[in-house]
Amino acid sequence: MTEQFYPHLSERILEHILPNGLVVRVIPKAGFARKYAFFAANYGSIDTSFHFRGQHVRTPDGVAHYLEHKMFDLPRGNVMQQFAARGASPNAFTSYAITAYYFDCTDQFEDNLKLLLEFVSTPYFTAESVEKERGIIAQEIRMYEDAPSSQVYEQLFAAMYQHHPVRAPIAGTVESIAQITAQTLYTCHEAFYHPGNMCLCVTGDVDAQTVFAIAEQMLGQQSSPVPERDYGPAEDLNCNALRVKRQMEVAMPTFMLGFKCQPPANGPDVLRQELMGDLAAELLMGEASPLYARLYEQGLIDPSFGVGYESMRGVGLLVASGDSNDPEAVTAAILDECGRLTSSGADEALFRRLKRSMLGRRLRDLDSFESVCFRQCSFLFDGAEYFTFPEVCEAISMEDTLDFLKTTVVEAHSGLSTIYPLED
Amino acid sequence: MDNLTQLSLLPGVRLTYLQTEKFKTDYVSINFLRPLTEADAPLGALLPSVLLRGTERYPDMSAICAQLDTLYGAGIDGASRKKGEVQIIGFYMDFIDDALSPDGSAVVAPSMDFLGEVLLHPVLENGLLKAEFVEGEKFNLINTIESQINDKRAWASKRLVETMFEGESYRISRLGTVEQVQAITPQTLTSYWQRVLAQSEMEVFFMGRASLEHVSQGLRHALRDLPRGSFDAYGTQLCYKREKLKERSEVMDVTQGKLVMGLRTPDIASTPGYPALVMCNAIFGGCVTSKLFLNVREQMSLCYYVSSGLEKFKGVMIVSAGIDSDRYEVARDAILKELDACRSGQISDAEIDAALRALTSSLQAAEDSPSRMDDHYLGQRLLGLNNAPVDLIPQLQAVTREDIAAAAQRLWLDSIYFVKGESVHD
Repeated sequence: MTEQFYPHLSERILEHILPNGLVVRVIPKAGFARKYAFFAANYGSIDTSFHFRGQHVRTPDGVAHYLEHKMFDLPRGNVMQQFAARGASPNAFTSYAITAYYFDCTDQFEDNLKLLLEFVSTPYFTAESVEKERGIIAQEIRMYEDAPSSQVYEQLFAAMYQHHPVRAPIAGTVESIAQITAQTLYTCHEAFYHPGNMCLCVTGDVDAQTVFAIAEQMLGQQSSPVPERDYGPAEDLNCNALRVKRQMEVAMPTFMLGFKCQPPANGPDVLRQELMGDLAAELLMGEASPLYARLYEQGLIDPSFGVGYESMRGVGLLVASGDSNDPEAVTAAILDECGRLTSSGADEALFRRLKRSMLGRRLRDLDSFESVCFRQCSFLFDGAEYFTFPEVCEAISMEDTLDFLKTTVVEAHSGLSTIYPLED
Repeated sequence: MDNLTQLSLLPGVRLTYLQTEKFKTDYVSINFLRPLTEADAPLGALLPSVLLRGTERYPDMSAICAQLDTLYGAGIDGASRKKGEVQIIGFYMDFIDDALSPDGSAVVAPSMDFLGEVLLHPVLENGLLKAEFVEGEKFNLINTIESQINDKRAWASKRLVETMFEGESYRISRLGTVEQVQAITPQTLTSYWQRVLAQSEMEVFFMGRASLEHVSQGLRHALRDLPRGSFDAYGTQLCYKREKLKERSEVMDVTQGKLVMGLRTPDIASTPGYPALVMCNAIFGGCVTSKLFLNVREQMSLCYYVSSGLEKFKGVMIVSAGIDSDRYEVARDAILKELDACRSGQISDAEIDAALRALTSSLQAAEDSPSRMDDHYLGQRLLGLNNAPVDLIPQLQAVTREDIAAAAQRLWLDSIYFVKGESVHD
């Protein structure tokens, strides 16, 4: 076991790595009633094409999410009920990059942890149960199709990326999930749900040694084959200022604007680029920026306006989104303002305040068990150590940030997705 | 709770203070308790956002933002909440505690000071709230109201409430209507602001590391200019009349139908039947071991989501389900069949046990969440109670199967609202 103390954060990480590669981390939090365990696979909706055991495998869109739904079945029944019988609420999610299973409880933590590790490492799918889930997932997909907030970004990714699997919605489509069988699920489970491709992170008032012992006992015997992922050829940053739009039953247009940038290689740069991407977005168009105040006063944006940096393997995107009656005017103003900032410089005092704010907000975010565990696992999968963020943030200069803006916020690298109201 | 202190800060202003060392964040909320009325709802929804546009010391959004960033990214938000027929407007703020401030600078006192500044010292023009801010925020609120149609699940619930509570204050949306918001002027909003400050009972909530002395001094200082007068009454009218079932539907551009059913009960959080109602809701549709989840969603695959929830101030249960548009009758009847099972006492020991565990865990976990504790104690104030969330646990343990069946029998279906896709015809 290793112990690392982060004095800037007043946090400790206790870590134990099993011989088969599983990383187990405990972040102790005294005084809380809740105990939280998060077990994640480095496997998301974008992992649809890979080499495994000498074969090239191409799976239908939406398998990672389908698998997540079906993992809750064990030969003896659905584990939801077993967790519930112990007062725990289990849940799971699938993102583009990872699949995670977690539970929350105040009592019988050890039994719940064993059950979590057991069900996630036990594939059990029958033709009948896979068939039955199809209706439920199809309903879920239809719900996303009805939600303008999902459609606006799915439409943007689909348009801006030529090859990368981020083009497809996380849950797939009703057509793509029709091709998923029990065998598809077994293959993907075998390829990606093994200890070397997973991370267990636990937080709350828990005993680390007990957690490590349970992980050894439940998962110590499993081996780890390694699939090689294929995200297709590198993406061209140029997307010719494309525009995609569709009409839905919305009251006012809602938009998402993206600027494609070079994704960082696995390693510490992933964290640096995320922090710098966030700072760059805030400096250019965040709530504290002069541009935001101007657009807000002109009524071009409202409190729904948000900015940030989105990244995953093979994808890096600076984004702005919200409701506006004139998304084109917002886009033009952002491009203009970036030209002004990169040629005549930005406000140093503003930049220092943005860093101060980022540091404080991320420190406070450590109160959230969900966020702590999610970030531990996702940065670990990308080769970065999340708890180093205060030092990484400190080292980012305004000059670097402006350089990043200059190469990223370029009309040719931009895409604008808009959902317009239906015409009467 | 042993770490709970309540005291009067000023006339009609109660502080509920919860000391804990477990968070890095301190949390404070300031709430004005108001009757929910047609005339005031839109004013209450608009006021917090106008006050957040600029103050005497921080005259515009950039200056406000700069101050929050300087306070290590402190967060402030205005809120208008509806609990029963009470509208609660105010602000909550969270900020890093002084003990964790990276450069050691004070954050707690300046944050409270900032909160007082926002409430009491907005930018005024000739004694009125600034017209530009009022107009800008009216525009945003109107967009928010018009955008409610985007979320069809919430839309169906909103329409159900309007149908079910026709003639009662509870039907009033906490946002008001577009027409009402359009009619607001700097004059009407300013006089509302002054009325709210002087004539409202207030509840202030704090949870975090800072000492009681530090917090109460900081708040007294922040509120030193608060006018106090006689207080407007507020409260919730309970309704026990059973009327003919109202079934309404609406065709919209959706691929998935949204079914919402509203039931009434005489049991609210301050009546003796409440623990049994809470158990009944958990067993019927409130958790993953519930009858609706297991039977209607999992076994019959009738719904993508289906659950029931309680409103503990007015005595309402709402069932919400996402279904295929052509399966309305089947889904409705399947849901009612499960309620009948509760009424006739067809409830297993395992169901009772699982519901109890889920509720216990949730009530214990509330103490790890400042916003849940805030909401809880605010609710307790409205109910004239003062229990901690965990105090409900022994009462739930004492509930019998017969009590649960009786609680289910006291529920009656009042209204149904259904949003269905265009391709479906009656």
